[in-house]
Amino acid sequence: MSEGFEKRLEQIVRELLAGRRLRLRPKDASEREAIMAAARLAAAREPYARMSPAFRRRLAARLAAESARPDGAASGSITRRRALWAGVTAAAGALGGVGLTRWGDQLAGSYAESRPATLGVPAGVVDPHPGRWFDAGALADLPEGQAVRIQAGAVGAFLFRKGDTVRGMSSICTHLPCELSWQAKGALLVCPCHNRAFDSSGESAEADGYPLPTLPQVQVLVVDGRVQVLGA
Amino acid sequence: MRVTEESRLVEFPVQSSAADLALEELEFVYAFIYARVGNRADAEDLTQQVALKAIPRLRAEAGAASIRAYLFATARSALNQFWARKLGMPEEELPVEVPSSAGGPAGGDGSSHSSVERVTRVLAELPPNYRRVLELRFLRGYSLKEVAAETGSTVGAVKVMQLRALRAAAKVGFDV
Repeated sequence: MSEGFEKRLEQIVRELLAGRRLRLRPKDASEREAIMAAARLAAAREPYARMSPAFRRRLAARLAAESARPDGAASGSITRRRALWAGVTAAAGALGGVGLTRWGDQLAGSYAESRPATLGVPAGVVDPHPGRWFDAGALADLPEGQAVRIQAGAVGAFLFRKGDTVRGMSSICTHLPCELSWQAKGALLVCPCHNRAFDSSGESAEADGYPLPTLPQVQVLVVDGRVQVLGA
Repeated sequence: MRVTEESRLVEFPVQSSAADLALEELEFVYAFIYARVGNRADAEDLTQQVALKAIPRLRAEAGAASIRAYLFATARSALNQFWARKLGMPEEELPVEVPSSAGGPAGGDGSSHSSVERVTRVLAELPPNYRRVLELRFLRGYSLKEVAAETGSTVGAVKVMQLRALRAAAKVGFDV
């Protein structure tokens, strides 16, 4: 047990709580258990950590670059492993919003027509770049008065139908990044992390306490009876 | 389209089930790593390292369980190397993390328990004064000075208490 380490530990804790990388020195090794415990506790501030969209895009690009590299004897022929890479990069492209022309043919038929994202999107609206429209099914399949959870690549959304129009809103709570769930009884989107709820217009449904910011809207189009959602 | 009790999930056609499974799992791998390094930059580097190392080695016909087990085994190995490199010590001398019996996550962070449950359990086992300091400092984001004011102590005493509390938390163990 090293004495006088409290000052150094506080420096490490301060950097962790500021969201910085761990910068350690060999002499910190004597208190490795305490440092690792500090990292665990710092992580608890974000209990449902998810990859950021920017990181997903970088990861997708890196996976695509790796898959494009010739791999020795397999070069020039489609091996099983290479085929898996192809699928991974295609799916990663959808996750990260990265255009992967190399696998464009394989994606054909998997996703709705790619279109440029809407310009001049107002605040409070999810505006992925580059955006891609995802087919979310037939309008006729959407029930009235009930939320339908869809995934448009990296964008998760709840859709609400009213007649021939569909409204979409983010499936992530505006307090902590927790996934909301639809409770038909009460017609609420409920956050499991802090027992908070939003109504079907995305407004915070708290009778008391502080109201949460309104859920961001997700862009939705209805074209020829098909519902399309702008994802990434 | 799969219909669940409370909500419906539209599933888009996929190109490769193994590939999609691996990418879905990477989100859990990221959460698993983040829960152990406590910052996004290191978690992102390690997740990318795991993806680049493990995905090319996966068989196209691999099932969900084996993909999960392989990704998480790779993640554990990457974490061990990370800590060993950061601390300048052999991996063998690092505290041993007991993997879950499934070899992967059930709840998204490497075991059937969430990171919140683990931290809550560890804090609950600490003496009240240690627990208070760690809750204020880590979960509420208080500065040392604010913790000192809140607890009627001095900054120096809180600093010492923080070290002792973290040692005690490590001794309780986050992975038991």
